[in-house]
Amino acid sequence: MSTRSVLEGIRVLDFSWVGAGPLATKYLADFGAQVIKVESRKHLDLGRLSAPFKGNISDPDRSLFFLHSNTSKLSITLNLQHPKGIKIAKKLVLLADVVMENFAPGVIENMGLGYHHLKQIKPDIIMASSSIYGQTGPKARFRGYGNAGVAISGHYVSTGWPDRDPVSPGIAYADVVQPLFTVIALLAALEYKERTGKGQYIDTTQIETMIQFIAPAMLDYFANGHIQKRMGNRCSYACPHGVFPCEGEDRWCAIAVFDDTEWKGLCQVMQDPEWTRNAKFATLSSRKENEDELESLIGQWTIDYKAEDLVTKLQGTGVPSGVVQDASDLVDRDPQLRVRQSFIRLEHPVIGECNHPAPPVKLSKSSAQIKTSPCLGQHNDYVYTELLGIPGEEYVELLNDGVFE
Amino acid sequence: MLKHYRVIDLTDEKGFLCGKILGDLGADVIKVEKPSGDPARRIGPFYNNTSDPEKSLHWFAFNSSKRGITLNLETGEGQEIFRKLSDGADVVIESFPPGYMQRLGLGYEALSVRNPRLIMTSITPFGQTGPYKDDKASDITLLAMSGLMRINGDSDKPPLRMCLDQSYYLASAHAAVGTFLAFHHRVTSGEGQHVDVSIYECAVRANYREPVRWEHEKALGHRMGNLFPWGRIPRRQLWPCKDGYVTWMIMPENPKATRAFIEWIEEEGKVGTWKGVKDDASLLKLTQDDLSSLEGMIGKFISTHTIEELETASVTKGLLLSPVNNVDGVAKDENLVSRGYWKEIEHPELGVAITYPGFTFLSDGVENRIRFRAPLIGEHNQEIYGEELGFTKEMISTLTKRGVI
Repeated sequence: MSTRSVLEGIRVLDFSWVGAGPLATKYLADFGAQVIKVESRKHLDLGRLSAPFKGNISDPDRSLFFLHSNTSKLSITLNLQHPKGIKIAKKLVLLADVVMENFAPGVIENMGLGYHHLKQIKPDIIMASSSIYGQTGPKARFRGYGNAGVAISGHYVSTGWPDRDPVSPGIAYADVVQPLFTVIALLAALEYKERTGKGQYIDTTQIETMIQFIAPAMLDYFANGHIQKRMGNRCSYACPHGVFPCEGEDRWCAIAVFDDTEWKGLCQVMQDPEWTRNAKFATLSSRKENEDELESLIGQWTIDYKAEDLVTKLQGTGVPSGVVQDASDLVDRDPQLRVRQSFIRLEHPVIGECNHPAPPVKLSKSSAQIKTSPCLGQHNDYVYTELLGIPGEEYVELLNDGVFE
Repeated sequence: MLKHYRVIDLTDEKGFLCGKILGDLGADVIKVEKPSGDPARRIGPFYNNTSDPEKSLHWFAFNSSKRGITLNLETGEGQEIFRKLSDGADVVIESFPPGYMQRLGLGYEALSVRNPRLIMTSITPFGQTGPYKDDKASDITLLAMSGLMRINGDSDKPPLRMCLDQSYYLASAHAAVGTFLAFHHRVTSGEGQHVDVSIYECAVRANYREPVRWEHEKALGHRMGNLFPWGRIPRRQLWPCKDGYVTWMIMPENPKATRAFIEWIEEEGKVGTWKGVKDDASLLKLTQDDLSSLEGMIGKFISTHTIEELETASVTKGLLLSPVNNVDGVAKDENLVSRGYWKEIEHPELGVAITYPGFTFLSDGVENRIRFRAPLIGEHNQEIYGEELGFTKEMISTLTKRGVI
């Protein structure tokens, strides 16, 4: 078994900030790439300003949001508004395989660090830009906030109850989806470079990646002219399919029945009450026709039980089911996440020991080796003096000149 | 780009997208179905609303850029044929319950003895290990457990699912990342490995905020409908307009956008003027009453405009507002059109071309385009069994008669 991290030897110069960019480079860093996060005290990563903060003290080294999106990286501070800062950034590019950025389109060009600039000094560089709409097109300069990607791509309008307004997912979902494709693109580009010696430029967008995740609805529109309606928790080929109230405050159990075997399993757990023998509920299509009534009857049964107990019984008869968990269930109790080490306890120099999120993908021979996230500028010495070899005197001069702010 | 890679895809709907991503990148992906066709072909929507295994738009969406063969893995002959296929493959992707492939003698251990370079990527509800590994699950039960449903939806309604099967798509994209990481490991080590993807953990990772808040603040999120939960005061983020919805919110952190909106409203003068102060400092400190009054006025104003008017103003005035697109809005988006995002794919047997999402990222190096439509049942049996594995016509017809292929 190999002990070498899978991406060891790959160096990433990472200008990205907030959510969608850092989550992509986190993946690479967790699997062994050296990711140097370029930050500035003059223009802090908004991630460092995002709650929650350890001890409720707002400080760039205390944001837990930042910690969760930037594990295993190095951090340097570099003033990109200073001409000498740009020069140093270019020297770092010479040592890098990959450059990542997610400024508003055009910004990195204006700094003189666009792909065509970098390609001149390092022809085989791989560069990825991540944005909402992309680097080209009439809306390239569009700016929006967190949920713009969810809204523009059609996800927002598709989520919710049929008789109500759409509901935004409780997370900035595009910030979760887009980085996956950025990582795929970067790994594909590294593979391509290994074979051909060529670098390339990658342009990933929130909208174009999110649309992949509603592709059947898009095809329904293009092929049939049909605009799908919001379905709440229902599913066209399963019934019952929803969440049902259980004992306790805001406790629910999710149940999904796709075929007659699972239906029989559910009836068995309910101890075959009279109503389950009604022809109205005999087949999937008849259950679909009487879904309101069915959901109400099941809800009258579930309400008297603890969600956990119901799921144990339902799993016993092979019915897909799960507790609607809250974060305390996940963090404090979930035995599966514990065994799989989904959260890893690591020591952070300022925050102390706490949970760090591990990748949900396990490789049998080259597992992730997660380290804590860096404090602001924590690796200036290593990167500037050791890696770039800037002599002590010059380093102090640059420091006094504000280049490392 | 990946054209020298061969991928055998045994997945069901939980993992379809992984093979499609690799297929779009150029890999030769062979989808293996039961002789009667993949059960997931029952999933709608359907072309022309005709329920038919050869007309599932869901199947089309996630199995394009793949070839297709039929094979019964539960027969000895089928297993022997599969071993031959996997001997010549770089990757096997599968989503059977943990242990199923081993029982057929086709687990990673057995296959890798014959082909040490083989990568096997398994996509399962809970992963290959842990107390829940054999539990029955589906998208809704996994999203329920992940904590995402609890914070998604209206406060007076049950926890809400996201649209379609988001957990499966997330896991499939993570699986593509894991497969690429295994490629990289193989370049240096020459050996393949087993990639273990837990759909549950992928969904838990998407729930990036709640576990941190619980761990460090002992706070649990709640369903808040279309109120944006962060910051001092929850803010409204969905606004009905003349012909649909837009998303926007008052961001004290960005008073410029709020001020621009107020100025636009006052310029038009239709809904009056706002009585509050609108300098940056005051906008930063809005009280709940200020916010309600401002939101009331803005709501009235937005309801008198169309999506197009609002979107245009957003770009020129820097409002940070986005349309909440229906699929028709997505289809017409001028930026997607100008980037050549949509691609018409011929379906000769239906006599039509259907428009598909064309790529997941733009690149000037690697190929990353949808290439051809999803396979018909057993479409490439002759091509693969006959021409590539060298089976004679008689063998193929005997194997077909015996239900092996």
